[in-house]
Amino acid sequence: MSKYLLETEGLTKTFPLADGSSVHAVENVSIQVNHSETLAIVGESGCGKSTLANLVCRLLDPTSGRVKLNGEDITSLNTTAMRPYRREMQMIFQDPYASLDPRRTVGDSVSEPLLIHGQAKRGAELQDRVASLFSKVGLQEDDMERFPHQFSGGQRQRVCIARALTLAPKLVIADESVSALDVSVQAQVINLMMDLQDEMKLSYLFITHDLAVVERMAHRVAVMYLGQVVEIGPRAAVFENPTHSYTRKLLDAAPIADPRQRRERPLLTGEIPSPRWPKGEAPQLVNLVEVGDGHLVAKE
Amino acid sequence: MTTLRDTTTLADTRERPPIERYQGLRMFMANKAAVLGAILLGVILIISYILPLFITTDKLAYVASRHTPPLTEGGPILGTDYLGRDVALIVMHGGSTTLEVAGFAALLIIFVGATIGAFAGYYGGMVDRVLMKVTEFFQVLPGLLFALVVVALFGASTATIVIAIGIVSWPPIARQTRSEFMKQKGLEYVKAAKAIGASNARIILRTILPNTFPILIVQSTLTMGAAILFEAGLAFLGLGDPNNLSWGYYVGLNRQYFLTNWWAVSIPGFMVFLTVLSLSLIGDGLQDAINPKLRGR
Repeated sequence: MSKYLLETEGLTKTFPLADGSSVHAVENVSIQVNHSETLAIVGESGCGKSTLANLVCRLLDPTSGRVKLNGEDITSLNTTAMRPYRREMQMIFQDPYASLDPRRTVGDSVSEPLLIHGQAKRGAELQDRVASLFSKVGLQEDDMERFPHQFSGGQRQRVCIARALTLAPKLVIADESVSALDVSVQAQVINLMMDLQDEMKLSYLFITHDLAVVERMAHRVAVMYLGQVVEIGPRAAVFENPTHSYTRKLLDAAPIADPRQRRERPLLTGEIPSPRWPKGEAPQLVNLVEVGDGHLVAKE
Repeated sequence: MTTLRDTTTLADTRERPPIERYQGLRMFMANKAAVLGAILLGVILIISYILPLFITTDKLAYVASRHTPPLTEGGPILGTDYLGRDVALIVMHGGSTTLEVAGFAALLIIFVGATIGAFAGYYGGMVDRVLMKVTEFFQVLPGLLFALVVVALFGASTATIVIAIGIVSWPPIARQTRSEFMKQKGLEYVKAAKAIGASNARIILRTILPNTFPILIVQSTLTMGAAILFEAGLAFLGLGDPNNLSWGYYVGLNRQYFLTNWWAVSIPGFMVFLTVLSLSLIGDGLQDAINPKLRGR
């Protein structure tokens, strides 16, 4: 068994545009996810978080760099060769409504992975397995016969979690999976995901822009800015000792629940620069240096 | 954030809307026009397929003097044509010819159109460009003229007429299927299917195709209507099987006597009209019934 469950090495994705310029969505990202660990990727919109999730899940092909699952390189596998690895790695999407087939009952959607991977045949056994998944994520058994539009957002996300867990994966990539839910439902889903983590020894690659969620769930945090990781480390280290200037600004921007507390630093203003670069130019790569135990920060 | 856990229960036990079965059927039944269309089509099918089993008299036999108007005493109920044949009998037998040609043509059109559209829309890029050029080529062919040439070259059998109608009619279906596939493949549920490890074939057939059904089903009923009109047009021009008088062929035969004998032209023409109408009413009802999002409204 490899030391890391998931490892990316210098993962890069650029999208060429018609005029010769290109968008550098993800630039030289090297992260590791340990077994039974939650690594949160935070950053604001457009920083390449979701592209990173898609690259890791092989829904997009990287421009360069490698993705390793359990130490095995899965960067250039085709659909068929990729299939056994998909069992180990599943994804939960941002919009639980859009990510369920509207024309299929949710029971069918959840049983599909088992059929694709030949782990069950249609019939009573499949029904039982799906039913036990449904109860595991806190849904009722007869919910299997409903269509996605008959559920609330939180229930739909539970269905999506059930689908992601059907094959008993090691790694679940959650791309903004609770962002679309309202706060109370968000808390339920997060608690559910944490319980499932304990029970099934799951690792999460948790992509979010919500720092409260990070604080609750993550063991380690990676901060992304303009496609690059500028700070990565244990949650406590990053939250208590934010070292990169962008991390500090990001933490300042999170609302404080106590109205009597005053902000010490001014809020971040303006927008992040565009990740689009003219032909022949590329962003400067940051250099990560260790400032604490496992706490790496880009030199500024 | 530390208080989060207190407010939660892990199971979601809120009230759900009841599971409803046969909702599609009920949505269809709620559409009065669609029910009318279905009844109409049912009557037409009975006239064309069940009645001929019981009425075995020779449909081409002389029954009364030429040009006997409908409802004449002693004459057949719908009158006779220019040869003294029973109009009602011939129209009854003509239905099956028309419906079969149109039905097979519609199947061919949907199959070819949906296949080409699905590939072009799903794979995009070069595949899309090549397939769309082919589609455009067939789209710019003058339909009726091309069909006439095909039938004239290969003879007026049911098979050649079906193929002729199919060749000139599939491009609009292909374009529509393509645009629907392009729209659907960008949606997250398709991405989710990929993340599960579904093959391209599975995604096309099991994931996206059912989501194009609302459009395909409606299109196929409309296509069937169009194919009936097309067949009628070809037959009217004399390209049909003279031993199996379809409605269009019969209209064509009687057209020169129209001023003295309006019924032998109007009755088969009216049957064509009713069939096309019933199909488009059904198509409309199916659109409501098959869309789960419209259910329960």
